[in-house]
Amino acid sequence: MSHTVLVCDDAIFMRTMISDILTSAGFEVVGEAETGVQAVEKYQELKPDLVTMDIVMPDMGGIDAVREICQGDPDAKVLMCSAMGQQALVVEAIQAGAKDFVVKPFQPSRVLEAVQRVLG
Amino acid sequence: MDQGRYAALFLSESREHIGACNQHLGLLERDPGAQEAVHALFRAMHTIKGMAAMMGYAQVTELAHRSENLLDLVRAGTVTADAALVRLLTEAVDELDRGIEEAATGHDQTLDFSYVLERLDKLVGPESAGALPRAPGPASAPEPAPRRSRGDQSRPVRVTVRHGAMMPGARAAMALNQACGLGKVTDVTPGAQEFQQEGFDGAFSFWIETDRADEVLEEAIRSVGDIDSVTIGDAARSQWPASGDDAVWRAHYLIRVDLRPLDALMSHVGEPVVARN
Repeated sequence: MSHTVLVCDDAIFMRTMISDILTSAGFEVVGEAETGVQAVEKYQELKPDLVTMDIVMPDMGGIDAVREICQGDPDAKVLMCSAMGQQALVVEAIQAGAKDFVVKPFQPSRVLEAVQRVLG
Repeated sequence: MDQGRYAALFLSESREHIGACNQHLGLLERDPGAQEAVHALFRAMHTIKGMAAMMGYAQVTELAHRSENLLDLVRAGTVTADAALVRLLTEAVDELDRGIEEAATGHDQTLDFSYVLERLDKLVGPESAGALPRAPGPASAPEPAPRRSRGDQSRPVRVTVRHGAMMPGARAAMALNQACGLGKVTDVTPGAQEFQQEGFDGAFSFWIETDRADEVLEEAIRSVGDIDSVTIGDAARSQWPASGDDAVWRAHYLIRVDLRPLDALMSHVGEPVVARN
């Protein structure tokens, strides 16, 4: 059975690109979220094996969303999708419970490597 | 990757963000204190930057990035959203509007935003011009090390993140998380807050109290990826960073002894030795 993924990003472009990378590698994208609030709600509803999380999103940012998700489920596997220059925020996300990160612009292989590490 | 499909997506979504930017700039022009407009502008620039970077549009990425830097300062209250700033941002958005259309048709490399970039940098300031959003605060000094005897299961650990790895601080935080899962971690040097600094070089040390074998510890730390070396035990001692050296090593390798019982012992032992001779 393939691993299920929830893709969280406020840009359709990024959600499409990440979904394409994961789908072509055999993952099943079961949901998408474009705000932090949606990410938390959809995580609780879908209980995916993996979450990819943007940092800058409206309503609730990715870090707060990670914190809420991990408080509810300490075993949640969240991969941060950050931009260059966001090291302070990525460190904060990891301290909040995120398991790994990729930096835009990323190659599909880097995303898949990180996903494999997160899923163990 | 299907570049044509992504280019079309990039263009349509960027156009939406440019439209939103113009609306928010209108709001900001009427009310320089409109914080939500500043946040929305920041997010729009950030999104355009991320998408352009993924498409490989370097010129558009740079202009969005520098505009984002300026907006970050406005967001932090360091720069005021006065009429001149709103005019400059409007100009930057106009240039981005032109840029996304050109880039999507394969002409990113011929774009020249130097005129507006120079003026953005002038407002941001020379020190911050190249800096990226959300500069972290100053690092805290390492906390005083707790006193501990050498007989317990504490070991020093020295970790270096691979040179050239992206965000070494984030990788270090992941490695530290792994260690924390295996035992009690103390005396992180430099302090974990230092990991957030852009200048952090990826080398750090800590003490861990654990009953796990060195090999298990090393494997767990290396599992986060991009780790160059893990040194555990006495070998890590020689590599301990200069910062915080005294406090940490005094705590782990020195013990305080009352000299009076030692004197008494010498006296007791000395007498039989003298008597025998």
